[in-house]
Amino acid sequence: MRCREARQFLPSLMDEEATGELGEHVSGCRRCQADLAVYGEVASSLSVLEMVEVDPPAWFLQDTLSLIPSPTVSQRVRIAAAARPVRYAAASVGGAVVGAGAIGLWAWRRTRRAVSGSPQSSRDLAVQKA
Amino acid sequence: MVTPEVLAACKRGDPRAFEELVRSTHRRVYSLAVRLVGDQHDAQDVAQDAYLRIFRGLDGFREEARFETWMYRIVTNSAMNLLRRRGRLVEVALDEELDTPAPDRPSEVAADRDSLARALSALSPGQRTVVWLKDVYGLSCREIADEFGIEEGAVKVRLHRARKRLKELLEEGATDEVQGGPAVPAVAHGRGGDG
Repeated sequence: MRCREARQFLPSLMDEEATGELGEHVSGCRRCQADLAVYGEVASSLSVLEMVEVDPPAWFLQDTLSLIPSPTVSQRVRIAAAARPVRYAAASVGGAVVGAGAIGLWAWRRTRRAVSGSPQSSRDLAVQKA
Repeated sequence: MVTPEVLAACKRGDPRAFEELVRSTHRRVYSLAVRLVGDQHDAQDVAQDAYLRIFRGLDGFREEARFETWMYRIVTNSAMNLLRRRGRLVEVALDEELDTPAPDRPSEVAADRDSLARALSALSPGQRTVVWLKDVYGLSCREIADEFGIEEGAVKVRLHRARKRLKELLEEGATDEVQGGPAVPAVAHGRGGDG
């Protein structure tokens, strides 16, 4: 491959590696390597342009900020939980303890009623028999 | 640079995090919009449309790509939609410029920011847009092809030609500077080729 041919492919070598005849030529040709280096320089200069900014009009920022959506109820809970994770964890544990206590109390009272209710019902039967 | 913490807070719907995101990105979003649509009023519409879509779509952003690239893609999509509505998409989606042979002489370029901006301005709208999106803002050829509605191969060809042309323009600029002449005919910076 000659330089004139190889040069047609050099711009694409910014994205992919040179293989085959092209790779062989470029690796052995100082002139094409120099050209390739120039493409590399241009590419790195271009990447810097991302940070070159065009100033928007003064009102643009405030106008854009007004488009921010208000959070929904569930989002408010998530935001608050993320802001005070310890407090929310404590509240969750406390809630769980209170809930478990309430269920335990309810179960205990039910069992107690069932136990004390049995003789009462046999006495009722005796009264009925008499 | 948008931090992962700000992104996480935005995903929870935190308006203060959205505000921080807008404050830290609005200049870049607006700049890309101006460069794509070439008009400041249209760029404001494009940028704000893009932000609305970012607010709505951020929950679905999976962080496989850089946030900025995802954001640039949304801005590009909004810009292409506007150009399509204005009947101007053809300027960037189709590019009929013929390839020109490179001069057969050693390379010498003056790739400072101003000469680069002038050289970019001298490219055709289609070539310029591809260079902005691929080489400046880091979108892939596949993503650009999707936005333009053309084949990925066509984007690669255009990019190849654009880089070659850009190098030629910069080389011409370097030669002209040595000879005391203008680098590249000055093209208004604020209209599509700014920056």
